[in-house]
Amino acid sequence: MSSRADSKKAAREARLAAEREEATKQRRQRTWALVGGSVLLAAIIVVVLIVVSSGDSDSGSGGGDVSLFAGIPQQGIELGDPKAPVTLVEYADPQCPYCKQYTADVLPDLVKKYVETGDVRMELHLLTFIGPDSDKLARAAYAAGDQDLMWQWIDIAYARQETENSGYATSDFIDSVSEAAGANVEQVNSESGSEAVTRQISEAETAAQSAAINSTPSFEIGPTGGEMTALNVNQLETSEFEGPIDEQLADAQK
Amino acid sequence: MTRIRADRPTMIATALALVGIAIAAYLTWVHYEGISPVCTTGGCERVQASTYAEIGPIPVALLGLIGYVLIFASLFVGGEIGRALTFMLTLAGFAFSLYLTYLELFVIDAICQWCVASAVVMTLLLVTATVRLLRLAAPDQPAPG
Repeated sequence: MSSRADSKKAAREARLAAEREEATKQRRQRTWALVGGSVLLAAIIVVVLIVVSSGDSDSGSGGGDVSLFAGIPQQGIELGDPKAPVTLVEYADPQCPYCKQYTADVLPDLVKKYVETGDVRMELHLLTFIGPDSDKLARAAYAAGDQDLMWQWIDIAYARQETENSGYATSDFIDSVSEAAGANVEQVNSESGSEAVTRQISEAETAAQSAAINSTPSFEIGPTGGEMTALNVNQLETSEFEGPIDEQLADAQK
Repeated sequence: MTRIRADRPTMIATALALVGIAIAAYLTWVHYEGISPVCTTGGCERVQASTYAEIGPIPVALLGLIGYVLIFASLFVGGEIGRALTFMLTLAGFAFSLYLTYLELFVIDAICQWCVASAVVMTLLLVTATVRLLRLAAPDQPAPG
């Protein structure tokens, strides 16, 4: 009697143990399936993000629209009529992607609307905080300024901007930008290491420090020869600049 | 009255997700305000001005904020799907943090302390999410909540 009950009990325990083992096995399989699916989904998300991110940082090629500056007075870092009532100052780094965006999307509108008409003169202070390529590019741009071609030079350099600190500012790159800007290539190269250019870079840094500039592009606006005030923009869109410029022009006419 | 009791890895993950949200929210605010983040490493400004600070029109900081919020929300999704979702999100976040750290070290050549902090938080989140998920396979594991 008892042996029959024992064997029934043993059989039930064996069945339960087998069921437990099967359940554990199925749970493990399900968990690893979830792990595998999650890894696959995560990989897809990351690959998409990296591909989009890399695509964004790819450089453009070709050149800027230098015809924009044709017929506009230019001297060193200045663009426009020296007697224009309002001055717009830009602080930029040659490797800064937002400066490239401003130069491509906003600057042409402002030049056509305000600089060509003699209402605004612009100054460009190039900073070199992003890295060694910034220094090489800024030096060459200032050197082109010696030939009154700084604005063309930097416009083309922005249009051809590559991944920052990738070492893209080679002598070939700089020569090709100088050539496209219509500058004397040898003169740009010889002048870019000069004390005068070093002084200009130093002056730009000093001006940026005293204006409390901590990002690029940053802007100041004011009456020509008068006190400059910060022009803060939320978006790099022409409309963000038009209001403050129109206000300054209205003040100048009073 | 039913009290929901979270296990320890879930509580740790919740705290970490909140820290991640705080870091990413600060960096997103700094991005849209156009100001420099508080920085002791000296490289934050350079990283912020980098081409890689945005993916299309979306700042990476905002993307991080969205990611942390999703991770936080996934911790309240019950069952194995919830745990798998947290694991998937933290794994993606961890892998993308690795990529961003590589960019900082070898491309941008600058280190941003906030990005490092976020990468550490994401790594710890991945560890806790992995523990939560693998516990499902352990014998006699009660149903996950």
